[in-house]
Amino acid sequence: MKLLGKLSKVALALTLTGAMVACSGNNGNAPAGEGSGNKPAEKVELTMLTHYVGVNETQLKPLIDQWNSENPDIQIKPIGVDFGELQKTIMTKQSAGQGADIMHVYALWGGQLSKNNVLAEAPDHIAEDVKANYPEAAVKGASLNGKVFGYPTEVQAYGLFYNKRLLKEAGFDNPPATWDEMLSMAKAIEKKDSSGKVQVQGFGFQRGYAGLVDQPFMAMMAAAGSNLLSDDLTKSNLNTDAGKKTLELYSKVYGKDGMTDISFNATKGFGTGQVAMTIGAGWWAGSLKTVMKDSYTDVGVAPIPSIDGSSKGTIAYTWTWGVNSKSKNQEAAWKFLQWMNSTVVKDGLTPEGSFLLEAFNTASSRKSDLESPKLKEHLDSDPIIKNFSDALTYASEEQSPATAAEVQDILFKNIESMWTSQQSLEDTINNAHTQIEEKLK
Amino acid sequence: MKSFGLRKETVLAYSFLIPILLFYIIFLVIPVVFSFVISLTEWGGFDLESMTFVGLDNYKKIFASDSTFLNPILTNTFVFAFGSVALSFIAAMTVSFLITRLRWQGLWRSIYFLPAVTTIVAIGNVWLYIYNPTNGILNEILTSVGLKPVNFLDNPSIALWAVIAVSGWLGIGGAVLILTAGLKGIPHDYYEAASLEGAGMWRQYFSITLPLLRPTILFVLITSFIGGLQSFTLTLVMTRTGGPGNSTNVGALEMYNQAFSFGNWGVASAMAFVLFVVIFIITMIQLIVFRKGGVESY
Repeated sequence: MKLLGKLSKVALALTLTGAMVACSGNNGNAPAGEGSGNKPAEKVELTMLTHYVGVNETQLKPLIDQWNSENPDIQIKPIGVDFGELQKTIMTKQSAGQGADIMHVYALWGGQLSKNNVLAEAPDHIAEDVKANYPEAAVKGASLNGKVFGYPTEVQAYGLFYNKRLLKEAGFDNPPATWDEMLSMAKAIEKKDSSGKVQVQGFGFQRGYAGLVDQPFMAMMAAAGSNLLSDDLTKSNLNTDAGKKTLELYSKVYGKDGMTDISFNATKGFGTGQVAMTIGAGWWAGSLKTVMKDSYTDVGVAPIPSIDGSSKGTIAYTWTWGVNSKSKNQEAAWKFLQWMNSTVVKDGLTPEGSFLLEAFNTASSRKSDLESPKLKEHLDSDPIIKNFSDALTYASEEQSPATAAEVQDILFKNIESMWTSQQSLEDTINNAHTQIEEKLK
Repeated sequence: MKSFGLRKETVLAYSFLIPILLFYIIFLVIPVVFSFVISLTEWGGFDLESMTFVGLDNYKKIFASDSTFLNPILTNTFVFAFGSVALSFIAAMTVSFLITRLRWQGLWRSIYFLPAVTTIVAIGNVWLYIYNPTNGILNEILTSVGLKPVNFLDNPSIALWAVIAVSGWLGIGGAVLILTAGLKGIPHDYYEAASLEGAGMWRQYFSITLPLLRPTILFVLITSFIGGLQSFTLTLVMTRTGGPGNSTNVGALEMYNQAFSFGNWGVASAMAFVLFVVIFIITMIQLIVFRKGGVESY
């Protein structure tokens, strides 16, 4: 009995050991098609990784269901993760050998993804389709090292959001066309209480994370006549006239010489009708419509003011559908993406065009979508969406070198340091320029 | 028979230890070794086959003169750890001493422990509202008494201290739990004898309570420091990017950004090992100081 008891204990210990080993093994599902031991299957299931969660996921589902019912041999399984987790999810899944077949990627990650050979180059017919049917900024945003890697989807330009009511109350009928006008109007509109707390902000930049600060900066700099980096992505243009003037403008909004309080939340404040002007991307109009409800009629959008009002400029960032270079079903994946982005299915719109309009009140940048009666009617009736659609014709693409995320972090931290009086304007120009150039080497 | 019995017992003992040893090997030893290997490579985090050996380059990068890792990041990490530990320890010592002299001790311990069992994300967001410069409670109080509102998280001079205050407050509960247990372990006979000898409350505290509480204090300080030096979530929630301008950026947050935002896994791992060495040195110093003070059990 004693021996039996001891043997049981040993067996239990070994069982626990076995359970530990089993649990530490790979328990994830291998992506469709991966696994050299699988026999070629007639039906393939492709995983599609996106940042569409919640309501957006629900809006995308009918389109996926339509494809799945019409194409029983190629089934699409969408996987949505929060935007903030998407890049990390792509990274960890790829290194674990469980990368999704189709990925929705933000152009800023393009450099990193290209360096690590994550995305497959688009087949010739797809690349030709993209080049022929999308604006230049969108094509560049969907390209890495000059080669198209997928279909541009959300192509969002930046513009000046303004509150018509606040401008009118201060005696202004039109939005500003120059930077000086913008600053003087902002000063006239700004209201503070007796303790110095801002009640109405004339102009505020949105803050929070690098992209939220940097993209408006790059849009303003484009309006001043220059991209942040040289065309070959090896040099910083912050020490050019455009770069210096843009940083100087920024120093006049917040900080030691700033005209308003940095702690006032411009994002929330615009939604509550307390901010007269700010810079934002096209998708934000959809959010403001939900937040502001009836007050949304106070919102207007105009091209970003330029230094002297004589030129137009902005940036557009791009999201792109791409195919994993390690996917075993690339042909099937491209077939789906071609249907999603180039086949007219309803109201003259492609599935992607239909989704962008419904989910984000955004116009697709594809020519055929823009020529559809439904989108034309929408553009004619909604000046905000029309403004952003027009901006794509002169927008520069958001540049994405391999170290794009670090470059944006450097710019962001230097701007924030200037705004919180940790460094002067001159030091900000020099430090940001030097540090960015160092990263681009 | 005896030697045979010992062998059987030894085998049995190791059999029972194997599961936990395997657990540590799989989830601790292997990741640490792999992390060290990564620190000697350049790797983007996507494809293991793309790892390139670069030797000590990553360590040279983080110690370079233009690197922000030593200053302000590691500096902030030390200030954060020391500040929050000092705050939570002093408060916990006071609170635990008072609790042992009150009724309903369990209730008081539970109340103070509540923040420790609440998710840090929720706590961080609540304190964001409290610190809000426009309509936060603290600034409402300040403006109601005629003072100007304070930008707690936007002023680089005070942003880190604002986060330290929250971290210190968070750490009180756990320390109170351990310290009250330590206080209860001190025999009452010593206090009775001291009272008979005429020793007052403070004399008893410094001559009996503190010396006998040393092992517990050492445990609290070591674990609190390690937690403080590794702090990540609170800074991420309250300041997102370690701003303004790196003024609240700490080691763990920087490592996270290097790896997951910038794809510099080698640099991130090198930072992790430097932090490990720092934590190890500080822990050893604490052990030596306390051993000299008579704590032999560690």
